[in-house]
Amino acid sequence: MPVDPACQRFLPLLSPYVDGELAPKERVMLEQHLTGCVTCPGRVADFRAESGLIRHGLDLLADEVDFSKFSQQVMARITPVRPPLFERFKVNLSEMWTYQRGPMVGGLAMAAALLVAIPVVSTQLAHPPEAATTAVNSVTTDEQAHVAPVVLKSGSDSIVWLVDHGSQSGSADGGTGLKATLSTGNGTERPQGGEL
Amino acid sequence: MRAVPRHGLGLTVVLALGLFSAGPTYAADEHKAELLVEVVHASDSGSSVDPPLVAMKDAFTKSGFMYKSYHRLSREKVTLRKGQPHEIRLPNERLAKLTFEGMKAGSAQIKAEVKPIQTTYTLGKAGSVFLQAGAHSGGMLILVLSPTS
Repeated sequence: MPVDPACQRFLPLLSPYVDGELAPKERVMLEQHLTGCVTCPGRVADFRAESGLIRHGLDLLADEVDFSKFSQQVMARITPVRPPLFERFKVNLSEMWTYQRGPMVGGLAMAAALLVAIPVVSTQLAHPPEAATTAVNSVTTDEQAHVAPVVLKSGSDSIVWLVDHGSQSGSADGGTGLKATLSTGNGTERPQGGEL
Repeated sequence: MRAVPRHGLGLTVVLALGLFSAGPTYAADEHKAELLVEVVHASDSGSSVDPPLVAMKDAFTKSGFMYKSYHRLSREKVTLRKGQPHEIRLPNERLAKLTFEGMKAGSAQIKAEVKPIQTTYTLGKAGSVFLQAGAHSGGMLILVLSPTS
């Protein structure tokens, strides 16, 4: 059957029109043509009927398919891929930072504190605290020198001096008696140191 | 994903390094000890006292010594190696010999010898040992041994 030349340009638009795919401008032009055309409305009706049949057929086919294990079957066909360690670390880190920021910052702070504390504590253990003040442990002299040492404490200082055997015993802790003697003098009674 | 603020991590690292560097320092360990060695001339002539020696003069005065002048002849920081004597020639030609004998309870044990006297002492954080070192120029030489800090 020959096609009316006026309908010729609208024929390719009929199926998209039925599917609702035409642009508004084309749709208006086609609908104006449909009001004055005697054959095209029939063609549109045919397309609509055909579309309905196809949809109905697809619905029937879909009803026959069992989708109950669809997701399990899809997952079973997926090959597990293990990303590289660095990639997994990055993903884990980003997820932790996004969802567990508080504990993560706390953990980092704790780690930093431990990094600082452990060397300091180990250094302290390796070096027991040194004595607060300097202190004389022992004093000796050569016997033939005929002098004896005395140790005088003055605050945190210690004075190690020599006196003649005749004026003091050889004890290193004879400072108290010597100090009493010295304190009464004006310099002439201080230890002379003997002949060094 | 939000970007990790790098300045926070950097600040932590800087803080940690700062605390590390602020850790305790020790003038002595198992192998060496540092101390300050001064030679002072005390005499009855004159009445001048070197300003840094005012405290020394007070200590001597409290102990009954009546020297009127105190002058520092030398001052040096000495590092002693364990078991290796360090000798200092004094102005009166005497020889002072200092030896680091080791650590005891965290403190350096120093042996100081100026013939005929020998003394061992514990080097503490503070305080000095004034060691009579013989006559010199109408007065007395005193070897002053102190911690460096």
